[in-house]
Amino acid sequence: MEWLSSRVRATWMLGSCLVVMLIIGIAAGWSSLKTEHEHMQNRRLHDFERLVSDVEINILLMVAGQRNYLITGDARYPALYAQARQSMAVTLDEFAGFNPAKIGLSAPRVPIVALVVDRMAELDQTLLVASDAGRAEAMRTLKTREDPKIMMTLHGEMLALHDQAAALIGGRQNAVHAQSYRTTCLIAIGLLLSGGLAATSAGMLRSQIVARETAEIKLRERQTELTRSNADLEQFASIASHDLQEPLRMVSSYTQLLQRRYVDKLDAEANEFIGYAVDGAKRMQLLIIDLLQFSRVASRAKPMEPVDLESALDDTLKDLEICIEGCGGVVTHDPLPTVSADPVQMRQLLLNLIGNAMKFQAPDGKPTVRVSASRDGARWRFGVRDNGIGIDPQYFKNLFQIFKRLHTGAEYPGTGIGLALCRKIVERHGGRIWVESALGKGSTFLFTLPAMETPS
Amino acid sequence: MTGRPIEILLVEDNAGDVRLTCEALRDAHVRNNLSVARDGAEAMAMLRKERIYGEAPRPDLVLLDLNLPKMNGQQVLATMKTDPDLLRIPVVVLTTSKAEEDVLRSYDLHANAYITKPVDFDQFIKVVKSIDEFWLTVVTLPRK
Repeated sequence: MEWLSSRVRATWMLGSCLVVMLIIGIAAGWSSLKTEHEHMQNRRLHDFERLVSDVEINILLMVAGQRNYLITGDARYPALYAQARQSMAVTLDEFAGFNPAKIGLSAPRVPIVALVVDRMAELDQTLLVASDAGRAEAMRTLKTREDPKIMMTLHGEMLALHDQAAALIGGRQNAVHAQSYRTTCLIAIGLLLSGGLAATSAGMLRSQIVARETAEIKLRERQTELTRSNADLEQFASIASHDLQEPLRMVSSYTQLLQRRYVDKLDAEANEFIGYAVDGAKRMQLLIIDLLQFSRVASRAKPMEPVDLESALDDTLKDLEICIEGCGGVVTHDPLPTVSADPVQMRQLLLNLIGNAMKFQAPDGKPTVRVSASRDGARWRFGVRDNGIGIDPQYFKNLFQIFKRLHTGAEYPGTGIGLALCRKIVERHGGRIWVESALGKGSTFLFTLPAMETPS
Repeated sequence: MTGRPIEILLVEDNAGDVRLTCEALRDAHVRNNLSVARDGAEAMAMLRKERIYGEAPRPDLVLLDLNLPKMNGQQVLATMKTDPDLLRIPVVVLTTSKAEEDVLRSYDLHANAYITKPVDFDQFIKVVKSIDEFWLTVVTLPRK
């Protein structure tokens, strides 16, 4: 669970990292568009400033040409005047087409173009006088006719425009600088943030991978350990059963030999004692054999193969023939399926369950056993029902544990391994085993096994 | 029944088992001369009449335990069955082990029979009797 949530967290982090990068991209793009717009506006302001300067310069050149001609009478000055006038006409056209409001300037308080045209008309008039009535007459006209107020107003207005444009350009430049500073900061912070997120999520992913690898190594180690301990246990069980039987055989054989040879010389009590000793040795041998069988469920397991339970049951009933006939028992069964299983273990399972049904009977009881099979989804459900002595439900829990017995050996002999063996076999096959019973009402041992084919 | 007592070589390290086999042969009324080898090496020396065993009789039957010191029962069996002089002597493996691989291995090595010693003495006598009946009475053994 922890593994999953850390993976989800890492994914979220990578996702937010991408989102941050996207935001940075958008912000940077928007900022550069805005900067470009400001640059454009400033270029237009510069153009306008140049126009204002051109107007002023042309007027000054015209004035200089006219005055110098009036003073000196040099014919080159009217040419200079004409040139400046021509240039002024072009500049004025351009100026008139410029809308100051478009570039953020307030409209001039006076009509500048009209003023310039008036001023040019004054200058023209004076030169006309000069050519008609001579330069001295023109000089007099100049003093009386040319109005210095026009010149002053025009100059003042031009200066105001200059100042306004300069202020705007300065402001725009500051704004652009501030904008690019903010963008740089934003990008830097964004990069740091997304870098941090990416690093953290990479770290989390890596630690998650490391954790998983560690877990896998641990699991492998545990598996190796388990395999080894199983092998040890198997070897122990095998050695114990062989080496335990050797001395056991000595005890029982020599006790019996004693009995055979000295039966006439010993009294009844001695023979009784010998009987217990021999019985003990025999029971111990059964126990060892059962224990060995139990330990071999996993270690000597055969690979799974299709097992026809019908014929497995037939074999089992043949093995139990003497026992069943001896107690007058009857075993009936449903049609049984073929399952994927270990054939030897299937027979062991049936032998134990049916054997128990025969064994746990009232002294005069006639065992009736029904082996049932029904399909339950992807598995088969089997039942072995008997009419025996039954089991108090309070003992169900421990029933399948090894060496757990409900009866004394005198009542019902046994080693307490049979049902533990059954459970081990069923669980090895991926099934489950349980019991339904009540005292005096018989018992039904139920178990499941995976079905071979999928139900149609 | 043959006129002479049969020669049996018992290869067994456990004194209790040696005595038990003697008693079982006695109770089963098998007329026999029993020689005993206490380990695999001694058994091979007796079979090949080596060293001090120059006078050892050639057995009609070998009863072989598998758990032996020095040279175990399977090694004795393998050596006997590859020796042209000895391979015709019937060998009955008589042991406590019921382990499947021991049984199969013994038959692979050409044991003539494999018998698990029963815990019950009466059963043991029956086994010995059956060995006597089968190998020494029913089966015609090769002449020496």
